[in-house]
Amino acid sequence: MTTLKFTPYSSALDTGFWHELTRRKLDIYRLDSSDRSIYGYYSNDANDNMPALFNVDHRYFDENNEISNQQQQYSVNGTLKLVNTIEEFKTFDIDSALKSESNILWNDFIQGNTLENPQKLNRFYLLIFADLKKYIYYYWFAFPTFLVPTSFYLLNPIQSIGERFSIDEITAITKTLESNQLHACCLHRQENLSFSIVSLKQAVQYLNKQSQLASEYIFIVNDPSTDPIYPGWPVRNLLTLLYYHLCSVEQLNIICWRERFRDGHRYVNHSLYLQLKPESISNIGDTIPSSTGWEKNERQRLGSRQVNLSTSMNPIHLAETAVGLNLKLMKWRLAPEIDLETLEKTCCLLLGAGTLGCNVARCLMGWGIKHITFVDNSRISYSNPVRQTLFTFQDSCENKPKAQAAADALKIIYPGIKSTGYDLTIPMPGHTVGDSTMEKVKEDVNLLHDLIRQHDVIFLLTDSRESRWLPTVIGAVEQKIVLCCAVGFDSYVIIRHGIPTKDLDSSSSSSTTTYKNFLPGHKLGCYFCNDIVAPGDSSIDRTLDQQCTVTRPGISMMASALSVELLVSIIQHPLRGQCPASIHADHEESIPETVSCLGIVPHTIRSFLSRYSTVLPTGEAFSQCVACSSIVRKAFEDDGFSFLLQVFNDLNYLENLTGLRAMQLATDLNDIIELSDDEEI
Amino acid sequence: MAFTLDEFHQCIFDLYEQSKKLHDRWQLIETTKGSYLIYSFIDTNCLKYDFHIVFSESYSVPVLYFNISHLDGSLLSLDDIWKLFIHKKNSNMYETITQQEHPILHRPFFVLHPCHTENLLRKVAEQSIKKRFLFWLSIYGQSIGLPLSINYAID
Repeated sequence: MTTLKFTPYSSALDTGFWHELTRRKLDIYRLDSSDRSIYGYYSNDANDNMPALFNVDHRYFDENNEISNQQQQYSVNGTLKLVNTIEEFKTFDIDSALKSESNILWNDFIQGNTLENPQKLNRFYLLIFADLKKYIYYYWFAFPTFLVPTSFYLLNPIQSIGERFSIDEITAITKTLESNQLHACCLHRQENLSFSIVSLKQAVQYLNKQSQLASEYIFIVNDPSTDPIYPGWPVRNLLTLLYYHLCSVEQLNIICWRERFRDGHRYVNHSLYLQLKPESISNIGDTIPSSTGWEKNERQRLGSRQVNLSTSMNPIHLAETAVGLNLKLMKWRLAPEIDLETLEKTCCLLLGAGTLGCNVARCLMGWGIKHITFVDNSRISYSNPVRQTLFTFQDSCENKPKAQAAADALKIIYPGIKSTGYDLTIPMPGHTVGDSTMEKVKEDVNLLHDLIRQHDVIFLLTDSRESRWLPTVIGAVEQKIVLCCAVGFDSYVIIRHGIPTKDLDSSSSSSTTTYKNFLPGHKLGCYFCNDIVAPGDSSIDRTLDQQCTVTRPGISMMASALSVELLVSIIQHPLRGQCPASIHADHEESIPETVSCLGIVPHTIRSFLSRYSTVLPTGEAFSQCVACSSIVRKAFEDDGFSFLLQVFNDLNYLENLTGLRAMQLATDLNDIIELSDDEEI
Repeated sequence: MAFTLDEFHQCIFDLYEQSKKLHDRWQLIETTKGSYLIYSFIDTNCLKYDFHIVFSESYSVPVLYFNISHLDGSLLSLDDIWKLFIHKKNSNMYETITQQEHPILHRPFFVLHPCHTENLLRKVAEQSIKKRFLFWLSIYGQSIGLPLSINYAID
């Protein structure tokens, strides 16, 4: 005789279960790891080839929760053990736990409880450890079943009920079971081809009195398995139950009841029909038989499972996803060609963490830029927080260094940001370097150079003209995107520096191309191109209010925002920093080469708040510029710090080097139209 | 065009009743924070689909929330979801999948944004609320794999 084999359960947990478990652990259970009641369920309506699922849901934590009587969901009582440490989980005594759970099951079997209430045919044990820092959940299910009898002998090969019964019989069976909610019951075949439902208890009683009538009784049990020859665990437990209670019955008929619904029709023919030769196990008496039932893991080994839910539960992860999604939505619905990935990877260096720096950083974060570095040598003072949007009153009480405070503030706003702050003074032309400070200045220069090298974009947001000189030179040499933003009382200017080509030999005299409509990226000017005087120490002879730039508060917000938007436009253009600028940008028709998916990419934006007007001039690189000309760049590359030292210490050095001095001497000063930016009040 | 909260309740209750008759899987959940419908199933790749029909107060329309998870409870990411629906993805402006917190369960769900629902419902403005509800459900649902038997449309 062949023996019957079974398909074990496959556990299935719903996402809500993990959320609810976490909530309960934090709010209710805390460190209490005692056993708790929990409920699960299985269904008998799975599709072919699906595993025999055992489900645990967020609703089934305790009896008081409404266990909805969903059709085709058969509840199972269980025990939840939520331990507090991974060690407890790993060293857990799984044998005792299984034994105690099996005891409950066995006692219900032998004391007649299960015969009265077939819902007690199944139980489960769930061991969990929740790592609530990493949101990793370790779990292990056990579905107790017994190792007696050792075999279930089949009298006949397994058939489906479609093969065994006539259509009329199946219809009769189905009709009889239509309103049945029990996990298991028995059908008693009647005279007229119909069936009546009999409870398990009654069926056992009748059969024990008249065992010869066994063929008239068919036991029905809901079966989660879809396998054509292996029924599920509830069947195994039912058989164990019956083998204990029945005596001298020669034949046991079982239908493993499986249903399927399509478009309102019920299909049951795939249910299994079993005919077994029972073997009484009542001689076991009160000894609890050995049990088994710990679920194998994904690799089919006896071991626990784990699930990592940080992407859906870790708030930092959730914030990252939400921010990214927000930008993606903008892309999908409004600007499909926008390249968000490049933006995210762009590393920005902000020289100046004051009014401009704070607002530029905020706007960059809004665009999803994750790497922001601040450089500033000052500390937060009481007047700062109202204008410098990353600082608070408390910061000014503590007189915190700005760069670091700004970097920290960004992390509080969005933990996924990679922000750092450097307390660094940018060496400037006209600010003499004595012997005692030389080493420090050299270090500062090297640090600044490294920082510029490590970033893609440099924002010049400092409060003086001369502090922008050195980063302009280095930025030009390192071919970085440099955005210079300067503000006046009621005006601002934003310039994207041209990126000169590497070959320093081609001076402007050799290039004879005249540009009619647009200037290519390497021909665009920098902040200093329009000056014929070198930047000097502008802080001498200025009154207090002139030493720190005081502007109409809105100016800084507008200028910062526009600087960032200009940057984004630059990055969207295929040539990026080398993107050309239309010479007559103000005019209606834009030239295709100068346009990115977000619109034109002007060279200079100059706004005047008193008139609410904006102009978009394009400046050409000046061959004798004190910052970006090839002469200066070459001097920097060749002589490095010694060149710089001369610039810092001698006001005339740059003018001599670039030939500006000669130009000045040769020109009638009265004829000069002052072109330099005037940000001084 | 828009639904009142009562009309919404009526529609979901009717759908639930019909579902029971058809032995389908809709579940009606009534909580103090609101009522909603759930439809769950597991596909042949052992992915669990959960669809929730929830009422949006601000748009006054039903909204379809959904999640797709593995059997251990871990959720699919938006990228995974796009890959699943790539064959259905079209430039139909009615459907934009975004991720939001479920208004009643307070955990992340994907949602078909309701901003275009009213526009859509305008096309069937003269129909009964039940028909408008089914119309909405059939359009939004089919784009994300929600099975809806034709029997629901038959009275």
